[in-house]
Amino acid sequence: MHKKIMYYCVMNKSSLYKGLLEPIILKLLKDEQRMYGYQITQAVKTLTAGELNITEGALYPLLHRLEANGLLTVEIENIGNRMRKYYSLTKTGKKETNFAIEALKNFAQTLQLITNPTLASND
Amino acid sequence: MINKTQIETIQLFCKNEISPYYDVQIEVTDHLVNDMEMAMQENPDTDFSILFEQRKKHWKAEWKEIIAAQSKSLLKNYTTKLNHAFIEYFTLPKIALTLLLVALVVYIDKSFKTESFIKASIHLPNIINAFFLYKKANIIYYNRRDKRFKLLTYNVIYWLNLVIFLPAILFYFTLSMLLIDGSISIHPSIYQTALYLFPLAIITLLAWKKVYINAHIDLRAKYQQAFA
Repeated sequence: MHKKIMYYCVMNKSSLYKGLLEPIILKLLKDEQRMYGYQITQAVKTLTAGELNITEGALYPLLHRLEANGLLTVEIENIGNRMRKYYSLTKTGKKETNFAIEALKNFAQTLQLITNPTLASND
Repeated sequence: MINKTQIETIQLFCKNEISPYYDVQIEVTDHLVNDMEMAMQENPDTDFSILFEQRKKHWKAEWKEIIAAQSKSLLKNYTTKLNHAFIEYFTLPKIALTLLLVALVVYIDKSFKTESFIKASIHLPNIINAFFLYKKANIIYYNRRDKRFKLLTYNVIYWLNLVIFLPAILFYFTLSMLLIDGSISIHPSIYQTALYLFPLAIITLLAWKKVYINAHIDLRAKYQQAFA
């Protein structure tokens, strides 16, 4: 029994958050206009109150994929002592972000119904 | 705060042990510098060299996979663009060229000896070079000439260019050489196939030419510091 409980605790939150990473990043870029990679990792950590710590192994492949799909554009800027790559949303990216946020809201509502079934029966 | 010497140490590490490509180094260096700054803020008494040595192993393992994933993303990006450019030749207005090429091939098949056409296709490399004899296409020459650092993006499009161009040119060139030589007999169905594949080859090469030139223009605009 103890092992079963430990299993469910170890079925960690990051696997639950995995599918949400893309809409979270798109939302951040919509709010901040442009961000660089490390800034995004810190912003996600702040936004999720420390619940989600993205590694570079999760973040950068996603950013590169979004750029390849035309949702993000890149600007390289000299920040004094080195170059920095900033990501921002393209026009297509902004449209896609609106859909992603809508889908996220619907998902949150569905989760509410699952975790609070009494709400569904009252409706 | 990390000083200039420490940043140069990180840059050298990125260049020598993470990736030789400038477009990858920019992102990695910036991330590692930020990572070190954060780590040094959390542990103010720790020496930069000790912290740097501790983190190196982790960085090497993480970034190897990230760079492999980046190459795949780039490849997917350009092949998707090639598909879109190719499909344009089946929609208005470019479908007119496609239909013209097909009509030309049918006309040649009915009116002339197919072998003569295949012999003439020895000039296909010259025709392809002619596609690049205009101002916008000069960017390819300038990028090759002015490139100061290795670029992953440049590498990907360079190899994709070879993979797309070489098979068609080699196929028609070899076939025409064999025909001109005459010592090896080739079944007529092979000439027929080569003739009817010709419009497909030309459309693919034209579609790729557009993607390739635009890729070079974007590369130059994005990574200006990588070019003289």
